[in-house]
Amino acid sequence: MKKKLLSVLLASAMALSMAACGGAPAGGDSNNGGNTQQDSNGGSADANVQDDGGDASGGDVALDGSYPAETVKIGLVGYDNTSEQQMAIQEYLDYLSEKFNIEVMYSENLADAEGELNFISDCAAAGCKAVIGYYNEALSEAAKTAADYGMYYWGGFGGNKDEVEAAKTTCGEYYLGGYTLGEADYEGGRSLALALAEQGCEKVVFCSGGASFGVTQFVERKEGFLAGVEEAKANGVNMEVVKEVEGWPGTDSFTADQTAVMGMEVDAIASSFDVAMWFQPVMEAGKAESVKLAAIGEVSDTYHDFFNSGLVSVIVYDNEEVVFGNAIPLILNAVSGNKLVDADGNGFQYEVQRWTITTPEEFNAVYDLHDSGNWVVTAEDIAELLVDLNPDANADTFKTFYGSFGIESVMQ
Amino acid sequence: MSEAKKKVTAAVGGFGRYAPVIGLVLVIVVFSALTGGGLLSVVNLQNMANQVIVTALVAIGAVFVYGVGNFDMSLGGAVLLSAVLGAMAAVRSGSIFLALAVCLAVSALLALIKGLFSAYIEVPFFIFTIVLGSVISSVVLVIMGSETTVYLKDAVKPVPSFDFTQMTIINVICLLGYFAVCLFLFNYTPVGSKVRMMGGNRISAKQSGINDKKMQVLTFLISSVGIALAAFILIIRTRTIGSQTAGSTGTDVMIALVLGGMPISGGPKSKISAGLVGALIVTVLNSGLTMIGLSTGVIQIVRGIVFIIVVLVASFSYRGRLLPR
Repeated sequence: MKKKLLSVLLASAMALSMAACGGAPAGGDSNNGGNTQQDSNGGSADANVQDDGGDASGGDVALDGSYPAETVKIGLVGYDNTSEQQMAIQEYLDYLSEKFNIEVMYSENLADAEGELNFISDCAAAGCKAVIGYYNEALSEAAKTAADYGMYYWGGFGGNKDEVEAAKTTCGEYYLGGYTLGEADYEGGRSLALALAEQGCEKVVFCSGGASFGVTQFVERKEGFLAGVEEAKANGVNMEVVKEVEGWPGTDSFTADQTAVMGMEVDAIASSFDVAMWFQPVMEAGKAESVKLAAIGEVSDTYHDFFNSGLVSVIVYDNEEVVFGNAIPLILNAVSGNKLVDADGNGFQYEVQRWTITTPEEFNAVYDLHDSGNWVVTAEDIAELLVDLNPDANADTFKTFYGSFGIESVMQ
Repeated sequence: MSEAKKKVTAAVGGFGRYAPVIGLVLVIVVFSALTGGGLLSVVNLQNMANQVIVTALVAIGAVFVYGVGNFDMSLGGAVLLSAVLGAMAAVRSGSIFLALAVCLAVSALLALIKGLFSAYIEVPFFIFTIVLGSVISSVVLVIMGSETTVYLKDAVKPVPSFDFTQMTIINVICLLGYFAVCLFLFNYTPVGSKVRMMGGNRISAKQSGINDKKMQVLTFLISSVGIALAAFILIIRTRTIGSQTAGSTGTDVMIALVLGGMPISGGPKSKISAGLVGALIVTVLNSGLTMIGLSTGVIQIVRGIVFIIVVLVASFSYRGRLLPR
């Protein structure tokens, strides 16, 4: 009995100490003294922005986590905390949290609309001012829930225009807008096919993911890929899809298809999602030299070595800071009373580019940038988009800024 | 055993009997302090009412099923199938009443299947429910076909939506209503005593004249009402039902029952409050941990530790007794 009681006491002490340690507020230092100004990364001299550690006076603001004066809590609705894209977004937001007075709460892994709505209501109770809908199952219902609690909502709804309109109607002033990749899923699939055609691939296997289940983004990627194949044929490349692998890794049918593909003569395997599950089968079959892999995926550690060795030759990539990080300037403007709106007075969707990376140089440029703690869009760039710091900032400058980024601009 | 030791054991046992309630109070007090009172703010109380509802409804009904000794692992699947078919009915008719009727019918049908299997087929019941849960998931995928999600916004005519306060009222009415009925059945009618007797010793119960087959079917039918209500509330609250809906419900219900002090193998110590108290502990814990801004990894660790503490304390009440459960 003594041992039992002791174990309970020890476990209680452990739980309480962990809870207490993790609960410290992340409020920033509000000391804005000093006056040394420095141009932001974007080249404009309008913003009253200073580098870290600089002093400021009057209305000048140092990017040391002290702006805005009151901590802005933001909830991020995610579906998988271990996904490379979500981790990259988290890393970027951690960087921004050091530069601006923001604190981001992350959901646990979510799989359904109920979990999503529960997390949004928890965000409200925790004092969040805004919600980033990175994962969105409940669509405009999630935006409505955020608005019901008086929180701003950012979300792209996967480009679903009906949902954007619904969010505008139900959320009103609380809908901030979100990115759209335009016809990006279709174009992503098409880019995969055309890039492989350019590399001389003729017999291609296509992993269509959720296309056979009717998942819109995969249906569009498949349509785009097949259109790209037809386009390549019209350009004189004798390209054909020799096999379509449906569904997801980990299922019996997918494994069986992988085995079948390894017995075939193919030039490339293109995947409408991750392609890492093909590394081992291809290498074990001794085909690393003859088969190219292409994916709609990430610039990440997973792909680094394989891209540089030539096994992976194409990645269609959503840059995290361009596609998702743009939520931060929209939120900061909104909470400071300067919400960026379209001509109709509402939050808006804006186009950003999906990048097609086809060379190790391009891959390494992005990889090395991130690896060295730098970002395509810096805190100074974001400061340029904040009306408080740059009175010239508006919806148009915002759209122009984020719409202009492509892999070419990174290479330059 | 010395007299003094017996007294200590009895005292700890008495404490253990109330451990779930004490645990709930402790969790509320600790997180109220850590959140500066935010946990008990009006908004958060409404939040928690909305969050506890699905687990609580299913867990309260599950007390009857677990009480007779049937370990049902298909509870989440039953909520999923009811919700999917209910949502489809709402989309095709535009009527939430039809959706409720479909939810009730589907969960009752599943309950009947489970009850008959449990009563007449000599196979370990939990194995059957594992398989049933898997089959239900597959059936849902087949039913949904190329659609991965059912949205009420696609209904032939607008399905009424409810704001935050209305939703809270509906939840509270459903929860208290169902709890009151189950409490009455379990504590003040022969149904409850028969359930406890069957869970304690099925052969003795049978020999004392209890119709165990009828009782098993009845327990599943009572439980099915909670499942149907949970599915219906999911439909009207989220207006979005996908193949992953209620994916964690089965586990949440089991955790809630254990935290609520329900012996998982049923029997005389089964109590109807276990479902509600356990679901409340889980909800307060989740809400409190999220509110104090812990990272998701730390939340999971702290939650695990708290669960272990509560289970340990609860176990004091029945360890070393004549009929361990």
